[in-house]
Amino acid sequence: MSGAAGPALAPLELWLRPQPGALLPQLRAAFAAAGIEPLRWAITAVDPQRGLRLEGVQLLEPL
Amino acid sequence: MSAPPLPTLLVIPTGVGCAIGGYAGDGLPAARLLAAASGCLITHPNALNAAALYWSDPRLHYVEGWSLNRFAAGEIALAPVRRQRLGLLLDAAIEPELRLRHRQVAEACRASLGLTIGPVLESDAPLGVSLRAGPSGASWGSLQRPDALLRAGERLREAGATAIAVVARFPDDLGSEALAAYRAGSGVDALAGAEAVISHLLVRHLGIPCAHAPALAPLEPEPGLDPRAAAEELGHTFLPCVLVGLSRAPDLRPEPATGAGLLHGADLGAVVAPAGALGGEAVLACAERGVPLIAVAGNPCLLAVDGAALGLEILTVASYAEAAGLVLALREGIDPAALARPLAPLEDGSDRG
Repeated sequence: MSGAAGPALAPLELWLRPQPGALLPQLRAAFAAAGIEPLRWAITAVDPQRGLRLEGVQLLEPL
Repeated sequence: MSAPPLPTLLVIPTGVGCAIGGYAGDGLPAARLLAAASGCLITHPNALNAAALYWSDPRLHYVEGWSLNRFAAGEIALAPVRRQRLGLLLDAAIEPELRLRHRQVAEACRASLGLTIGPVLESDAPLGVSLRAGPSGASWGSLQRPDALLRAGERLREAGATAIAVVARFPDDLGSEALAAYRAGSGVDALAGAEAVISHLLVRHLGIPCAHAPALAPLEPEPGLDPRAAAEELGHTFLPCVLVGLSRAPDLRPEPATGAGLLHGADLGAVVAPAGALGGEAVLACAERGVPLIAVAGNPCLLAVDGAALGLEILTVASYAEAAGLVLALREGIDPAALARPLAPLEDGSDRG
């Protein structure tokens, strides 16, 4: 991982079953609950059983 | 007399194999058309960067993806400028000859285009770019030394740079199947995801416009090269478009921001995105704020995240030409429903109030 003190990057993958209503607040809450600081992400799949797949890159240490 | 501009957001997600805009700046014709239709188009480097080719238009606003997301969410405003002072950040991993090529691009942009460039500096350690594909097949990627990237960015900003072009040494992929597919016009841009990670990191940390160009060893000529990938084979670097794009990229102002000429997320009148790639932050933010979402079915990609899957209300069009017509209709105050048949009769409602 990082060769020096500071932030590090890691892959991000998370599944979420959305509830009715606006998606973004739910996604942000899911990241927060999982302790994820997302840097870049997108919903990359929608599965009838598992819900939404969020894929991307996260920061392991806050900047 | 033309109607006032309709600020419009164009999103062509990076690294998901979009048929239009998933290669070397091949989203640019669509962006130019939408800029003409709207009078004000905000879009990201992936849609506009064509290596040695670029198109400069005051109606096109070059906004990196992290700041584009914040803009769409109403968290930052965009302040158009006459020019930026461009700092050039070179990865210490770039070999001397390739480094010289990049410095000479900067010199050419000063001498031939009149851009304000400097200082130029190297990171204090190799950035260590790595490439990765996610479970969907989208390209992502990472850096071993984000700290070195951010330190170099800080030094450039302290030295007076108001925007930063960063060039990182990317792994050469010579002979790989992924590269062959990309050059043949059937694959995903394997570099794009890591590029976006680099620029996201810098913009998030520094709060100024930044964009990225990869440094790569030259490729052997390919007779079967797809036209959409051809722009990347014109020269020694991918840097000219980044310098031109950043030279008039709008400043980023945290909301609430006030002042004449600012563009606010609340001003957006439309957002245009591929119909199967609606699950990004900017598109969701716009959709949830009621901005009309134009989904282009004629730009397939490897994702199938559409309006029905996400429960979003969308206006589906077949092409960017049709999207431009719809943007023009919105700009002129014409209800899109009036342009299609059948036209449903008005519903009876309550007469109270």
